[in-house]
Amino acid sequence: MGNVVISAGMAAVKAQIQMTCNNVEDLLPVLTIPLSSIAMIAIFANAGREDLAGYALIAALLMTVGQMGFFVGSEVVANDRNTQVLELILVTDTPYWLVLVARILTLTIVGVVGFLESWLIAWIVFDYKIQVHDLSVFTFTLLATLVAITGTCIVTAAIFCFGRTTRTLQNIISGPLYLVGGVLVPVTFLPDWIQVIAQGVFFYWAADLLRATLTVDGVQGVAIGIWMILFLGICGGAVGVFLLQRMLDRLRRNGALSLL
Amino acid sequence: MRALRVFSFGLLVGWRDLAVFWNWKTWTLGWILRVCAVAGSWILLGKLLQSEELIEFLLIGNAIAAGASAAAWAIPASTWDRVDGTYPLLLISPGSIFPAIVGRTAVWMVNGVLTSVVAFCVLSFAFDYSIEHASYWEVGLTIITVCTSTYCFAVFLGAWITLLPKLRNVALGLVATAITTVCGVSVPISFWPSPVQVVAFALPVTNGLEGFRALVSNDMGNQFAILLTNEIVVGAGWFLLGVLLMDVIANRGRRDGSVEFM
Repeated sequence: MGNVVISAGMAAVKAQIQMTCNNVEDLLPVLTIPLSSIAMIAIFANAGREDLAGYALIAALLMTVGQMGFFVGSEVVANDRNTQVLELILVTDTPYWLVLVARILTLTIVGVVGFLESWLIAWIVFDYKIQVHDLSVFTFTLLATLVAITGTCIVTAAIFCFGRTTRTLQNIISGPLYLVGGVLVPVTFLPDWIQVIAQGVFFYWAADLLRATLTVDGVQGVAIGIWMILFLGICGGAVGVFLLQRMLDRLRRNGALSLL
Repeated sequence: MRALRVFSFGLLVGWRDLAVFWNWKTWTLGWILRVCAVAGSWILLGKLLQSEELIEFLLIGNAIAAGASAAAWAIPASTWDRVDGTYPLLLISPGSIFPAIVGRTAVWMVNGVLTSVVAFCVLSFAFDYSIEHASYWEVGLTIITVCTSTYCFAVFLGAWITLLPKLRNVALGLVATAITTVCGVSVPISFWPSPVQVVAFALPVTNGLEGFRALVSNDMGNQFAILLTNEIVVGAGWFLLGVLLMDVIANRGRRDGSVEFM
């Protein structure tokens, strides 16, 4: 059983890589993040606050992996319907959620390139060499964040599978999540009631930990932060799998699995 | 008269395009929420850096850029006839293709203006900002001019992107990000090296935004009028190039058959 799961997952990863290579639009977040990074770092440079340039790098990282998940990954089910492959996948023994997790995770991992791009931008354009002082916390937080984004994107992919609303929802979801999650600026600058809500958004925990790894002071609350990211991501994933099953059942009942 | 009639049908198609994405509920609670959340994230940098001037700078820049980015949706919209398979039908009809394409895409300019106006109001309220030294009609005039010139630039790029329809959303993403980066939205134009400044002033948004900033900073000269005129000239230039290019590309497509349904 374990081997079957792994081979099905690997096949899904391979298929997603092939599809992304044939569709440059999938890489939109990776293509636009260098310009966004320049804008963010330029604001700190213009204010003479080189010490805060790391905020821009963390924002670039979270925005790129977030966009790869929310903008590209969330479209997977709708695309499978559109290209008439959903029916074929569903008649196989492999659970669809497994295929979906493998494909969305592949896309979000590609988003990590956003950090490398913005780091290079900071170095080449602004001559800032930003150091990660706690590489192990940075790595574990990033891995947990990738899991959390994948889990959350199963929810959005399930909701987006009703084709007509896909683009509309894609355009709405990310902005408010980044603001409330304090991706660019810590939530302490937001009203109190938003700060309470923020604790239910995994970006809040991820952004705080990742920013702290760039400081020399050391990172506080690592365990609780990483557990919260994983907990919120897994909760999202569980809700997503449940929703996905409901959506697929409904599409089956209506005979509309491949009809948009 | 015939061009006007085609244009009005184009407008009707454009309105239907818009309705595929938004109704009044999703536009208000979704689109505007998203636009204001993104702009809000940038404006909060002013709070992080404890600078009231930066908050004002980023608020004005992002509120106006939000509309410009929305108007740039005309870039992908220019290719939708190729995606829908109606492009060859437009080509075999007598007359220029431009009234049909401009008609279909103009709705995104209107969306840009409305987006900017609402974003300006919401962000001003959220950050407790009241505009000084500028009247409401001057705010409105700036927004209309900037969104129109961005739309004109989008017509030009849209004509090019008809050749590579798969890149339509990539082009939109790059243009929207470039506007935020180099057109005086995030940092003053003077921050950039001279060659970048030259490019920035040839792009939409830069002149209009600079003019508006001069007005708000109580500049006693007529910088606002001059720079707003520059914005109109820049927009008109891109529009003219776009219209010419549209027909050149259409004629090339007629000759080599590269206008197929994709």
